[in-house]
Amino acid sequence: MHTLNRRKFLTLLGSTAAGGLLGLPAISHGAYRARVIVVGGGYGGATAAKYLRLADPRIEVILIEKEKKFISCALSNEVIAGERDLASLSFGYEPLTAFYGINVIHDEVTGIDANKRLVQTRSGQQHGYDRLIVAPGVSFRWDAIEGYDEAAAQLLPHAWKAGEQTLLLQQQLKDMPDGGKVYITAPPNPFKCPPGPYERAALIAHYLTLQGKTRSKIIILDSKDRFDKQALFEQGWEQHYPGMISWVPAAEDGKVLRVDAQKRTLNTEFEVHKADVINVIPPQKAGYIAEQAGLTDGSGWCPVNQQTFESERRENVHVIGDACVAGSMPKAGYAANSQAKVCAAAISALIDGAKPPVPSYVNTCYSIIAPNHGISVTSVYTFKDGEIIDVEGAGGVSPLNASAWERRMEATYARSWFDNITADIFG
Amino acid sequence: MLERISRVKNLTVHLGMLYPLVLVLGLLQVSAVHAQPSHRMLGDACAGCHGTRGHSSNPMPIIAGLPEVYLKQTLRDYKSGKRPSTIMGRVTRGYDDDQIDALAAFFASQVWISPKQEELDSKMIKRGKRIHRDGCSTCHKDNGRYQDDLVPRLAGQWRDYLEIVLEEYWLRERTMPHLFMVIAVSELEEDDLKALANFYASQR
Repeated sequence: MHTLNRRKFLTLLGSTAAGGLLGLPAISHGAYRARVIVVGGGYGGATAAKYLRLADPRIEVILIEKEKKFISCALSNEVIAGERDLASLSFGYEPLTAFYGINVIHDEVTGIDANKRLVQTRSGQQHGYDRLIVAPGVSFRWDAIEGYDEAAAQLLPHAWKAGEQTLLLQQQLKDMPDGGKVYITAPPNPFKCPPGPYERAALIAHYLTLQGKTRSKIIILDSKDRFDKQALFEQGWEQHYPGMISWVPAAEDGKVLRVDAQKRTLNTEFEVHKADVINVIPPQKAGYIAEQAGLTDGSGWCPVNQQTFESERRENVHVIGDACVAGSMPKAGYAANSQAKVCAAAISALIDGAKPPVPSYVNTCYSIIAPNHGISVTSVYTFKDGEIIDVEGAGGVSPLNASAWERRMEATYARSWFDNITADIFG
Repeated sequence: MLERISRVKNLTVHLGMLYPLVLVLGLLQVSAVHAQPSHRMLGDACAGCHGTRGHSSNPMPIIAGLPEVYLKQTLRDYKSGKRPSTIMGRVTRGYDDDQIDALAAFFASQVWISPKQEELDSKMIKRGKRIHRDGCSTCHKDNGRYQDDLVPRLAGQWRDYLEIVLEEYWLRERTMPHLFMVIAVSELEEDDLKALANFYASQR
């Protein structure tokens, strides 16, 4: 994986030729004509770093990311289901340095000075930039559910950032006796991975079934009255795990107001639920650094120019992925990957003093209901009147009454999607 | 940079004399030509499933370097529903004909690279080679390396993908395009599909 193969060599060579050989003098950064710093090395940030270098190797790219390894949240429900391990979801940044010349710094950005075009890091370093890309993902609204804070998350895992939290939830399900009650609290829109809570319910049911704990129940208490791919999920739940999963919408008292981590109880307006395992998926907002740098508005998310992803609040700062408001695109890994490419192309053009190119965006979210049962939702997007909108007549969800063969194929393609997108980002 | 700007300025001065004409042409252009995303902009958005520039990971098919006409037709068939799919129909309806042509041109202009494939079955490869020689080699010449407007390259394609498509033709659960393929595959046994997939995957 870490050897320069022919494919990568050709990709880089092709981009050099296409990047133009105008022979313009370097402006201010040694051999480079501009420096772009990317904050955050997830689906969005790492893609942006790589595609900036593919667009124009004369741009110096620094990627600042706290963690040495990225652990994907997509497909982490398969870890909870005991179907794969975390290692299969983990990716290092070495290839980005070796093949694409990206300077990866493992540090944490603690401050952004947009006027001086500087970022400050935890280790006390300062780095100047011509343009900055902020891709921090989401952070949790710890004040939204009474009793649910970072300490409570050690007892009632959110498992909405893959890693220790994922394993904690897995362990609790393993230890739970047959007939136990698993509660999942689903957050209000918008949040990261809209189909995620419902896929999780299915894969927990799958796991408990394999363990012979078929008398167990999974109850989703939701802050919403409908959810992504709802009919497909409900059909799949009933087909594979009849009677095991129930969903309580907000209108039927589904909104959780308070939890007690010690007693393992959840309070809605009218009821107290006693649980064996509680998975709280908290309400969300843009990652901490975006808020700290003044990139968010009253909604907690970052308004941007949806063609270039430049912040509406700070010049020369771009925000991509879950943290930004991107028209009708959901907060999802593929969406972040697609936005990153549009952003990289725009920045490359802007550095050249050219107009940003006409964008095109795609998103696909696969969900796995059972190992041989996948479903999907997809959209192609265009930029119109200042906003990202769905191309009419395209996209949509898998058909409701597809054959078993098609469901099996979609599960296969779901895992293939993961291999392809992670190779596109980290390979 | 400065030199470029001054050149552009000079150009503006000269064109200034033709201003009324430029204005008219400009208006015509705005109304007649719908600004399209570049080939690369369109193609890069596909990489989430099809790999960077069409060099995919198993079992998504490698599309880098397939014939342009073949890609155009296949994308159009997905869009019209003539070729069944799990998701490609929904995706291709997001693109107009010019964009589909651009996507085909983008992926056709990439270089095919046969990936290293693990766990190919040598017995199956032998059996597949015989079936290929007796039944498939008229169209899929040169052990599947040959390609033209109607025939995609098979040599070095992912084994699992080859098996999926052969199964699609063989099961006849869905109506596949290329009647010739439907007929050809109908004469095979189930294990023959695996054998062919192993054989073509083993080629470079």
